[in-house]
Amino acid sequence: MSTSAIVAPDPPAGPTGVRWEQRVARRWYVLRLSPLVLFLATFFIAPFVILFLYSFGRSSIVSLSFGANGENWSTVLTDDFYRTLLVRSIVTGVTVGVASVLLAFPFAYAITIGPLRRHAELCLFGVLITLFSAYVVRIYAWRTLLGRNGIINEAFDVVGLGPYDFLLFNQPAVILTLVNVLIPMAVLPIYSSLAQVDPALVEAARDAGAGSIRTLTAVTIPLASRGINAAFALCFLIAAGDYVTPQFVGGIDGQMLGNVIAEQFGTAFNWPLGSALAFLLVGVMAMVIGAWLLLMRFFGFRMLR
Amino acid sequence: MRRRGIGTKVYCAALLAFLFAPTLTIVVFAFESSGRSTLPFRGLTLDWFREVLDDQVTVNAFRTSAVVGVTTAVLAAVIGTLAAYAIHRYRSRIGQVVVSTATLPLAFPYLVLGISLLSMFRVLGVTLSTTTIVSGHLLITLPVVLATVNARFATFDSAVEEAARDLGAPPWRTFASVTFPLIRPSVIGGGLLALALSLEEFIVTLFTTGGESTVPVVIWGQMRRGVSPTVNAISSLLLAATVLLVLVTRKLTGASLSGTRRSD
Repeated sequence: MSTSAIVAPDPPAGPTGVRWEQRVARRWYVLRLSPLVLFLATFFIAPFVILFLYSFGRSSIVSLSFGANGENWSTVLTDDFYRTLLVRSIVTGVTVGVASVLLAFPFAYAITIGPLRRHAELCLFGVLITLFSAYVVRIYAWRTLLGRNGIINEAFDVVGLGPYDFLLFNQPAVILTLVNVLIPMAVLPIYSSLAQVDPALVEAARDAGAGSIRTLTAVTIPLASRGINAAFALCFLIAAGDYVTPQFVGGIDGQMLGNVIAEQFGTAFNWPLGSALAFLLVGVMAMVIGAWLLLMRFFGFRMLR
Repeated sequence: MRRRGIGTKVYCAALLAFLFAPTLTIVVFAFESSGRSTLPFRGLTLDWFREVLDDQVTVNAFRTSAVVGVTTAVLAAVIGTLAAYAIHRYRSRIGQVVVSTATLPLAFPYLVLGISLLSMFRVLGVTLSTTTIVSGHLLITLPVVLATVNARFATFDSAVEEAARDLGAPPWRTFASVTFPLIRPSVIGGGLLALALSLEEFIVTLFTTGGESTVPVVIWGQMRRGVSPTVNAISSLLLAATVLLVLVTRKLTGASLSGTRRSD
């Protein structure tokens, strides 16, 4: 079907029957939606199917082939090395997700319901700027800050301490960097769900004699749970799937599953193995998100009572 | 009570300081004369910026980034707006499924998006180029444009469209002279956000580039070779572009931007 066949029809001189108008309307609908549908089919769904097919394939030094062998999958599911890295990715992701939500929530609360709501615009603007600041730049910045000759060690030097090498090239450095990078990502969803909370409900809880902590756990947090879940999910997904942060600030002990996956698609040139690892990571990540949602629902109901 | 308010304010200020600390250090040391990214501060210089602007690789990277970013922004704005308009006009289940699917890429690690695109391009025998970079960037930026324009349509008064139709305006005319002028700030805002995201995108770019480097890729390359003072200058220029874009977007879409997220 060529697009020229369904160019804008000439306008009818007057109303020429409902059915004709409906048909034109439907045609327009399909026409306007089709670029997005075609794009998603070509650049999102098809690539995933192909990547999945690769996980059953084979690779040699120079060539890749599809196939139906489960070798990559059995390697991926049984090898201790990959399991260690997978666990580290998930632990890092959960830690970063929880820490980002915990750090972002008071901020989002302060600018919606709390004492800073008059300055919400300015505070949000600051968050947006950091959100859009290049992620590579921020990782680079942390490597400079935490390094042997970085500002932090220079500051220790002034008071006669250090230099400390343990600041950089380990898992805590990865977590610190990712939390710093992802807090803005947590602030925005929590902010927009808190902004929809009716202040009258919060006040009603207070009037009914609830203390501020009880108001928070029984009213505000359950009402904002959508934003909290979105914030956790976003931060967790990005952190657990990251490989650039561990590459630059993680050292050997901070490497995650993402690093091995990237390697298979780079120098190691074993796409089938990398593909199986990628689907393993995505699958386990989906399970973690599911578990988080169940947990939140459980606590959410408890809190509402 | 008042003291708790102060505690909260101090906390928020500290959090903002924590967020800005790394990028501010980068900017400050881009002007530092000794070229060491550490204290004590020796003096001010513009040498690093001069060096960056004299370096053909970096200048090309800025050009590539601009081309990729603008192409991405325009395509994302067009495709996203068309889809959002279709969904606004005819609420159907298909539309909802399409929007959810369009948002789904944000639920995958960029690494996985990058390698899946790379796999497809290899199977189809597509040569990697700036075009393939754009396809990856569209995947990430379309949800943002959709969210921005959808947010505008959520508060859209359809009565003005009906009035135009009742007065005999054909569909395209209604769109061009009534609907579009009303949603224009959100469309431009969404496009600018797409541009900002495209300028800073790195992981998908790395897997879909055919050798052309965007600015983040150049930064990454220099980082791998160790700490170089020009990285600070390149980064500062990139940050300046981002701040400018966020400022303009904010101006255009007003407070509605805060309701825009990368995902829902």
